[in-house]
Amino acid sequence: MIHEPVNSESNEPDKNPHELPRPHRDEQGQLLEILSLDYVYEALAHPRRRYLCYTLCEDIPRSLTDLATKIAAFENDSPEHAVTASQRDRVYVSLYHTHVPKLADNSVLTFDPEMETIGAAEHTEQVLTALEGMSASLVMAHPPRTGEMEYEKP
Amino acid sequence: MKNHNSGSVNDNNSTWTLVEQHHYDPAKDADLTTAVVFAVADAIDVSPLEVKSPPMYECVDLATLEAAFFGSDVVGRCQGTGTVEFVYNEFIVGISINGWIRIYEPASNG
Repeated sequence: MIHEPVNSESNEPDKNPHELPRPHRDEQGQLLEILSLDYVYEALAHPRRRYLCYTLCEDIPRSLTDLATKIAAFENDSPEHAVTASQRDRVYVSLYHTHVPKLADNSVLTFDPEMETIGAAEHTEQVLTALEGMSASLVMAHPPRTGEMEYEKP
Repeated sequence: MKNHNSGSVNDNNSTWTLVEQHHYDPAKDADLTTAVVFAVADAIDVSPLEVKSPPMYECVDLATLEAAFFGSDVVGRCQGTGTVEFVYNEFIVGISINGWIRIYEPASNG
């Protein structure tokens, strides 16, 4: 069956070769495209990765140390200047060893190992579009507290 | 499955010695990646920030392993046992579902 996908069609006796494309083709194509967007779900599956993706909204290169400080501030519910070196370093290590390479692997961001900055890549826009859609529906359902806004719009 | 109780691993012809073990507690420790890198740093005796090459992700996806072993839908319900081991530079890193992170290095022939 798998190797003969045209059989069912060619068995139809009165098939008109000039008929219009089947009406479902577009929908099907769209569905296939959505189902193949694994990197979007992978990217957004972890709060630290979501944070990294959000920072790509702004076209400013950000260093990993900077990003780690911001994430630690959010997670510990404290201002950035109150983040300790230990809190920052623990986040930094997880970004460097897991989250950034995973996003780079999926072409959601680029990583410059020398400057240790992240930047936009091929799939950034799609991930940001998904994030925007989700946060729009969240804002409608539960207007965020100030702290949450800070997290979402670094 | 290798036997960890003796503190050493036999891997084909080489013998591995346990040099570092940390206990990871998903309720207290933020994330598995950090715990593993800190354990490796202790084994080499450097700062965790100096453990750089290669990124752990090139060996194992620790965020996914964290969800599989220590996710909220696993902890407290899981009665099973299991260990994942991978080679990181000169070390073997073992992560057990009971939270033990163990670092082994090749035993010196000395």
